[in-house]
Amino acid sequence: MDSEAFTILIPLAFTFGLLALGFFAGTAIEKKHFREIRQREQKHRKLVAINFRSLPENWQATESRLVTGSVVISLDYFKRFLAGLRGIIGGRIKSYETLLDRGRREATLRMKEMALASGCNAIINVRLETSKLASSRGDGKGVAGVEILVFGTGVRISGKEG
Amino acid sequence: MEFQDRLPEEGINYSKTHPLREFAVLVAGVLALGVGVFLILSFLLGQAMRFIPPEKETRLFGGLSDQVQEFFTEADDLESQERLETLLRDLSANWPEAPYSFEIILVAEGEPNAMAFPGGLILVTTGLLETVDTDNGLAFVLGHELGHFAHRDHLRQLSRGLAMGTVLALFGGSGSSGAPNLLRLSGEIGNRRFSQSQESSADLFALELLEKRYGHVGGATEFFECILETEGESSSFLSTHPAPKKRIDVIKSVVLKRGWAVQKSSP
Repeated sequence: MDSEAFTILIPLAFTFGLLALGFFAGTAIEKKHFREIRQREQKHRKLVAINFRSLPENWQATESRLVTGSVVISLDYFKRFLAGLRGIIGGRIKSYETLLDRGRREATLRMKEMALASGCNAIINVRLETSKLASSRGDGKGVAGVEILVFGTGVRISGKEG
Repeated sequence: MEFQDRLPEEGINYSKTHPLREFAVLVAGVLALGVGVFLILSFLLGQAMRFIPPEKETRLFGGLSDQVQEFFTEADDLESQERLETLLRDLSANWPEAPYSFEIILVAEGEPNAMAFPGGLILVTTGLLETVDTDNGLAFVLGHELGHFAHRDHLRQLSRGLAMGTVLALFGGSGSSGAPNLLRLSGEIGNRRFSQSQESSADLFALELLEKRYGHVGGATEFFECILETEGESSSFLSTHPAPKKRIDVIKSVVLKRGWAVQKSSP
């Protein structure tokens, strides 16, 4: 194996190494997270989060407060790579879809957990916001990550369990 | 319909396609696209190349000779310089369609090497003179460089580089990590393989020229055999030049096929 071959093999190995790392680590983390999310969603099913702007008529609220849940996520190399390829061909960026779905659901769960901790048993006026976090890249391209914020008005409804 | 209080299924807001499948499909697709555009561009540029006559090529690259000489130190060996000039003259006399006049310069460099530059300049290192003793062996090396001129390999490389650059510019701007890198590396692999085929063609040209000049092809493999002895098998699939052993084998099989004579080379 001569030095000319290495000028190709080393960058290639590096790229595939990063891809493999992103793929294996990322996939394992993702599976685990989805399992955990589903468990918590099941647990919190009774605490409804709705996006009515105002209280439904037959609800009597004794308490209300702002509740928020947020999560900051970053992409692994593998996901970013796939998204870059999609940028040429077009179509659903499936690698991002799972990440964002996890983010939204996690943020929603955190909001519910905050509501529960503050003594609320329902959340109204639920909204979602996504913000991009600036990356430290010199050319200004790319994002460091994304923050998903889910917020609403937590209320204590009398006559409701929980 | 009664309301059923249950958690929705998974996979509503995301696809359950396995990421590796997504990866395979996308990489195959982008590579196919890239290769397609590259081939079309290369073909078009190759056709356009036919309209650049050698005289224009000499004018375009004429200044290279001076620049190159600044980079290398000319060897102070008049005898060897004259020997090389004679060899080249006699050799190219057997190539009447030679498009330009050639200039040969001996440079002081330990590494055995010969380089062809667009416009007709050939550089030979003193290291080469030390490695290859016989006239025939040297003539083969010179013939190989003439082969690059005959096949206009420099222009071909330029047009390949242009095509590659265009493909990378088209596809690389999607702000991604890795994807343009992958394209560039694939392009480079293709380039290496193509370069190897160019070197083989130049070898065959040299062989024919040698036969015309000397009536036999003894000494053709001298350079490669010396390299094998000193460096061993070092080239590979990804090198710009084919492996010395392979070049020797190809030469030998062509000699056999064409029934050329192999006599002792004159020192």
